[in-house]
Amino acid sequence: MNSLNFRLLLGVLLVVTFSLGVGGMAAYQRIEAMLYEDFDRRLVQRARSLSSMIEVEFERVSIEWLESDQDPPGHEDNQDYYAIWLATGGEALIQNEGLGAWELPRFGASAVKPEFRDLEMPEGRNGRAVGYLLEIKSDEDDEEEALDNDDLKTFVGPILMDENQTKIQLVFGKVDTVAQTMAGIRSSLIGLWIGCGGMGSLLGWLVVRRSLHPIDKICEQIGSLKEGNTGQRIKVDPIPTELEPITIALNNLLGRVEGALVRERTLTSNVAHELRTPVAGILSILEVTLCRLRSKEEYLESTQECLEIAKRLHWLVTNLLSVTRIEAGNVQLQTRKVLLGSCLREWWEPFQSRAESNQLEVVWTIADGVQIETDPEFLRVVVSNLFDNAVSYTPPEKRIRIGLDSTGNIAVVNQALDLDASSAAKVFDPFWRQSETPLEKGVHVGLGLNLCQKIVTLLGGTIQAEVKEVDKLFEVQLRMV
Amino acid sequence: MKVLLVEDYKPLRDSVSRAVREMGWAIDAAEDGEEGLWFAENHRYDVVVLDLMLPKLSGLEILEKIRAGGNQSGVLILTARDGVDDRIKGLDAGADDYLVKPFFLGELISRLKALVRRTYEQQDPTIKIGDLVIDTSACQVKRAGVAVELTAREYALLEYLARRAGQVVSRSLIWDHVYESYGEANSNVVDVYVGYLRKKLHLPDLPPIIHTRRGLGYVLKEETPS
Repeated sequence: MNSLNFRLLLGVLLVVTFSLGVGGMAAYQRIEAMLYEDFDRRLVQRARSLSSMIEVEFERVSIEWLESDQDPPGHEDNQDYYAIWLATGGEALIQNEGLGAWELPRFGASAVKPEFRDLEMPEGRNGRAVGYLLEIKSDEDDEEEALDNDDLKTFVGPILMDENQTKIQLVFGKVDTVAQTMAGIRSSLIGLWIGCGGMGSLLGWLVVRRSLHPIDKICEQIGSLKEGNTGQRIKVDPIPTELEPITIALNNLLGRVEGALVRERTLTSNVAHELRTPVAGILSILEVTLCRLRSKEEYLESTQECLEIAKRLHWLVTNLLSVTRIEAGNVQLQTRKVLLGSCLREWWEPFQSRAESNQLEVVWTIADGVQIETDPEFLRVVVSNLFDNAVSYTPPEKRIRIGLDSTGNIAVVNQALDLDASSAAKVFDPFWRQSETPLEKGVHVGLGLNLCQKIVTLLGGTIQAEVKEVDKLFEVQLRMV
Repeated sequence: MKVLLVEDYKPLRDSVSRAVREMGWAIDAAEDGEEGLWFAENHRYDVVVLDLMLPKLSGLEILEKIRAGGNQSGVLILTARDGVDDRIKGLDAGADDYLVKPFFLGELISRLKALVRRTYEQQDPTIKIGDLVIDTSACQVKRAGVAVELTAREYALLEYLARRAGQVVSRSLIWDHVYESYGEANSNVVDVYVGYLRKKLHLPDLPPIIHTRRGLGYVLKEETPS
């Protein structure tokens, strides 16, 4: 029942059968009306013809007709019945023999407008009759002529009429042949309706099936999409207008999935590179060192080198895990009120010696008493990353500016010769690096600022980077309030 | 034998260079793609070891450029990318071998030796020229069954001459394949080392095996009595 095919077919079937049914019924009723109109017209004609033969002879109502006719006109096949009554008094004057004991109902008291009725005729046949009022003429002047003419037959009524009784009521009935004709037409229409319904259903099924074929093609193409080949798109030609938005939306979705997969692959590739390469470094250093006996200094140097690489690995793994935890929403903040100025100075301490050895000048612009509510441990990770970057990338003998304004905005500004203005938008991308040779500089693989951005977002703040082309100053603004 | 190593990670570059040098081979090490391409286009190497993710120019770009320039050196890709697609890309671009980081140094050295054998169309790691037997996998030399102790540089010189046994090898060619590219080419140095080698390979009652072709260079071959 949920099948679109079935629903469309049912709809087509209902529309076809309903239209045919309504159309057939309308046609049937119209034909019936036309036939009855014609029947009634002929009924009136016959009744008028009969009434023209009625006359009064010798104070009796009579019907006069030619000998050559076996019955009065219009009564040839025992299909017609008539009866005549006196309009006043209602005595029956004449009725044809075929009626026997059965009597025609008496109706039609208007001379102007004949009245029609459906009747049940003798032998259970349906019939229809017309009744109306009629003024008869006296034909005594034609007596001679009537008597002389042997061809004339007269049917004379039994009741005498006086001079005042010139109006009679005539009911002329006829077996209803229209009903039989309509029964035939009805059977034909029902047959036609069933036949057209069946044919319509078959054609509808074919049309619906053909119309829905593009859906099958789309399904087929979706089914043939390979996991590895993300560049594939759905293409049905020609595509029905109704399905075009679906394929466009689907292709857009595939594009987004492809983009996500490419980003994931790039990230995985970068992570693999950043993890595998240091491990390869440790392995090769140890292998070379241990392949023969070395001096004490050589062992010391190799050990020191391996320790540095291990530290870098530790930092990298910690950051990766932090990013993963934050992305998974698996982090609980422990916020409290923090005096930012004193925190910044405390968090700078680990970088002090490196800054001094690089002869970096550190300028502090700290507003007093700035207090915010945040998770200090997470904020420390962010600020430490900014300090670490500043110390690592600022050329010797240059300046680092650390600022905190009264609204709680933190700024770390340093000179970064490698960066340009376009880099500012990319510095928060994972594993983005202006130079691809960061490994020799220490621990920078392009993950620190990405982690900072995620933490700051988690803490409800914002972080922005800007590179000023003129003096190559790289400024990171941290807004925690 | 001479190797070009293009690797941006200094600890790895240094340790691999050290291992190759201690094996007796010469090695030039480049820290980025541009430098690596310059070395590859301006010097002759028996094997090139390429990282893929390099600054300035990727390993694949270097590979395509050097192959387009007709360089037939054996190329080994040394990378952290372990996907099948990456391997296919590398091998299709003209690499001869592919090694994923992290790796064991011994495996890298074995693969480098295999690439050199392939370059010189020699399947057997043991080279035999008359009574001289060089085991390239163990870096050991014997003459008439007697082990000959050689320095790394002497061994590298002998292996190169042995790889081209029977051919006259010019001093400049020896320099290109046995010495690193940082210094000026010096044919006297080659002559001195060939002299050292001759002395060490000379055994009583045995004919000389390294011969000088005046004005042309040296040839290593077994001298048949005329």
